[in-house]
Amino acid sequence: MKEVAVQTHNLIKTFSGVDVIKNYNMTVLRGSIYGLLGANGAGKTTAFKILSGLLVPIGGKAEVLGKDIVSQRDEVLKNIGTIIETPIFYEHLPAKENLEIHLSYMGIENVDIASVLEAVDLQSTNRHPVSKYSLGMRQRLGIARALSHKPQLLILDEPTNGLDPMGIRKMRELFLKLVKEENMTILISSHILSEIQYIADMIGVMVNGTIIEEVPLETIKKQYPDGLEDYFFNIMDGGQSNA
Amino acid sequence: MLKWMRLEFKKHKINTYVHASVIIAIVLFILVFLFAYIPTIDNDSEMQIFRDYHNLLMVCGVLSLVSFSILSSVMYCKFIIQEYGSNRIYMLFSYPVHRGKILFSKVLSVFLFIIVAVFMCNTTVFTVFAFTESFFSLMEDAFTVELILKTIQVSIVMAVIAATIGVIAMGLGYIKKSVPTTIVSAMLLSSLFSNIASINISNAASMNMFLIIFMGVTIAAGSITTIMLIKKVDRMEAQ
Repeated sequence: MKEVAVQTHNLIKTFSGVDVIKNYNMTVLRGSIYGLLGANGAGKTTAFKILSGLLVPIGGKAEVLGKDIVSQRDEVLKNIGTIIETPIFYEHLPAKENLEIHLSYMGIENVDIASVLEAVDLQSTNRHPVSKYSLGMRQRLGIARALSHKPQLLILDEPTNGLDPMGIRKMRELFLKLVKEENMTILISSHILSEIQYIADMIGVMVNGTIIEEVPLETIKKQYPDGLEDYFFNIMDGGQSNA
Repeated sequence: MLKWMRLEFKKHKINTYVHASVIIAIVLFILVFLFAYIPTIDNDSEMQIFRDYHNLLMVCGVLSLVSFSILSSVMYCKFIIQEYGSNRIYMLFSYPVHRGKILFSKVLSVFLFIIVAVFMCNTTVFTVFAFTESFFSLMEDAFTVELILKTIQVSIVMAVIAATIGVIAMGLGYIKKSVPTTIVSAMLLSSLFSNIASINISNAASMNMFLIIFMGVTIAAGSITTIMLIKKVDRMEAQ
């Protein structure tokens, strides 16, 4: 039986009196890839922000890597890497310096920054400031930063936004390698269903702030041999009619 | 703390502020020179007070205080207001370092930068001015050792006041997460200082008393602002 990396119990988060997250229950096993699916506004980013310590839930409990995300926030942050929304950088600095600053704050030394950048197809010799980077390059750098300190858990909100097809495939291979070789756990959301279909072990479907179903991808593949898209649209129709 | 401060200077283009400080020093030197020169061509009795080193030092101090208070508020806008008021906060809050510690390192970085800048600016401008006096004298009195000590003393006090005015302005600007509010607050606070200072300028004893009281009040207000901000940031959410 695999250990649990992320466990939430009835999380609730409210903005201006509206429940954006409610009765949010999620279980992510260590060394696996969990794909979180949901329509725009379902609350995926809010859920990821809670799990990254950026937001505080008003109810429920979330344990990340066995630690409470509210009371042991800094302990959790040491061991997770995140991309939430569009990655932000120090625009006037090159990629290498941006990673150096990140690693200093993470308290990690002696990291081979060149190999981290090469893993996402960025050149460590590129001295251009990040402000000159394309959207795809910024996304790659965001991924490099998220994994540079070798976290146990990666929380990636739409990490392939802006990447070209080659970049998407490269990242897919990288994520699978990180799980296989480094035993990382990845929690990922994406609008590209095929993307999730290629890499995820477990699928969670979110509707109106609640995870309405958590199913192993293998089970979905048996029920829907044509792919994740049929499953997703089917459950979304059902989910909305239930809501 | 030094590590976090070094990172702050790396994250923000510190050269910009060094250049700004040098420009302020050059403009200040020109103004000091003008203040000393005008009484030689204008016999107005009120202008004659600037032929005295003590009065000129105070004018120089007040002008540099106003300039550096505003520079300080601009730096706080970059270091704090824009960082905590934009999506850069995702980056700041993803580090496993106590949030208050990061904020304090930002406050301290700007605070110390301004103190060093004001002190260097005032002492350099006054030293260079005194040096030029040996070639063409404009002043009635002499540049004595006592005046050198006085220059150092006034420079330190003005430096502390300028830096703390920046902190208070940042606290006011933070409420609205507004750059204009921060800069305008610094302008108003430094104007308040310069207006009261101008009343006391020719009376050394009352000027000293005013400087000490104003410094005490600004340090107290700056400390309260910093403590409140640290508490606020620790509870803050990145929406």
